[in-house]
Amino acid sequence: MGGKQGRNRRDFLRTTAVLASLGPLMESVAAQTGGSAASAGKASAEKSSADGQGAVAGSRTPTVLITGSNRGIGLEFARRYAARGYRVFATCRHPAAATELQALATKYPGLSVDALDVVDHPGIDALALKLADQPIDILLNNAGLGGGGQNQLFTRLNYPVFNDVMAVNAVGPIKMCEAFLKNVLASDQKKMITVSSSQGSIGSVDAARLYWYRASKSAVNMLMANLALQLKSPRCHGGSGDPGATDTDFMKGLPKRMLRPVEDAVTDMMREIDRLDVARTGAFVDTDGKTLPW
Amino acid sequence: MSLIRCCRRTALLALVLLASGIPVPGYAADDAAYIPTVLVTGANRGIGLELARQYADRGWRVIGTARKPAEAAELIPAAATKGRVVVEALDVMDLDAIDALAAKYRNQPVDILFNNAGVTGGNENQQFAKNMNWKLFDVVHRTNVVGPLKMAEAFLPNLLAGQMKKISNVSSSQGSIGTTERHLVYLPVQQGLTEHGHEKSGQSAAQQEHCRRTD
Repeated sequence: MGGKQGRNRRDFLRTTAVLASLGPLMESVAAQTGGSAASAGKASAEKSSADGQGAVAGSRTPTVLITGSNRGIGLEFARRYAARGYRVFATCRHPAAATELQALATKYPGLSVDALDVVDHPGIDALALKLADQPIDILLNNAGLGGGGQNQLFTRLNYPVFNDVMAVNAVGPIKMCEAFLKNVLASDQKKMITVSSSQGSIGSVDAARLYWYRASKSAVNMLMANLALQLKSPRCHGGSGDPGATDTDFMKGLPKRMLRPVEDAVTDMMREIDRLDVARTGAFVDTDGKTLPW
Repeated sequence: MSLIRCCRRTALLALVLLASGIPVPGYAADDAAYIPTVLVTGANRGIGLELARQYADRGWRVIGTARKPAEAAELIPAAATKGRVVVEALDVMDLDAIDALAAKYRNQPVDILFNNAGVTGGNENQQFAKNMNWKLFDVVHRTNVVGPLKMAEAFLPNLLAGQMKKISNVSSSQGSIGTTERHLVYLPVQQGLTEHGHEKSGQSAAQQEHCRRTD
């Protein structure tokens, strides 16, 4: 992501979580789609409902699957969930080059690294097959693509870049949700999270820029909202989280004073993921947990 | 049933957009001889065809596009009888063809660009966890999102040369994230599934109401 387009804007690229969670209604979906996790889902949903915080609800070690874990927010998510004692499946496109992530894998036995490019649907299916019997409490769609500000200026729009941005930011997350539905159903927490952005909030943006990136985040918001409508129930959890403009490679070029440490960003998002409840299922919220305009 | 409702809403929106673009009271009072031009994509049928008809009835110059002009059976007679209607072949997924059309009309002012062409992709092809046809997602995206933007980009000089300088996109309330639930974006298959789910989970009417209110 080039910084030129955003240097005058403090909220150039606030990263915002859009959260959808799953509950008892999921059983009917699973049953009709041949899911095998329905009965496990019912019992655990009731348990985690009583828990209310969406934290460790049973004796089983909670599990998170994170995409784009090699750097930035994804790396911090992996570090923090591992430190919390979660079983962490951290994915990235090139594990061999992900030195920091590999170091985490060495430090935490519960963290493993898998190669995954979210534009590669057969690759997603293959990973889902590999993890077929593994409950996943939190599916964390974090991998994202900015597309480069210079490629998204009206009258000079680079259309092939739009395809890439959509494939990573919008299609990838919903494909992940579909492929790992049964794993999430079989878990205690049953949460699907996509890291979105306030840049996808049509009601919030002002100066025109980032056509592709913004459209992809609006698109993924709609996909997650759709998913929340399909999967929600009175007893499932909902919620939100927003780290604000964050000091990562994604924001390279922006002055540091505009950015928050990635640790703070992830702290906020993890808190909001913990607080996820039915009232906010499918919500799109900012740093303080306030709902953002669509 | 929902499809029909969806289409009716879309039509309603189009009418609203149309109404906002109607020049009748205020337009070009200083230039009565000016003949405005509208460019309508997907003009071979439905809303696009009606747009072409009504603008032609007002005496406008109409450039109506369709993927297969030879099959635009109703637009062609309009073109033949009304003189100011021309039919052009255009698939808005074909970005090069959009550029070519813009080059052809380089010196033609366009007062209203009406991005009307659209596809739904078929409800059966977008069933989460049952049948998600990703290739069709690409077609829907290119037609409904990329195409209109490319049209706006390619015809920007024409629009700036026109008097009205308006771009109207036929969107849909189905794209309103804040209102989709009331509009039941999931079509009959999905609704049946959800109703079944309610029964199965023993959800009471009161619970369902709570669920609706807390989303």
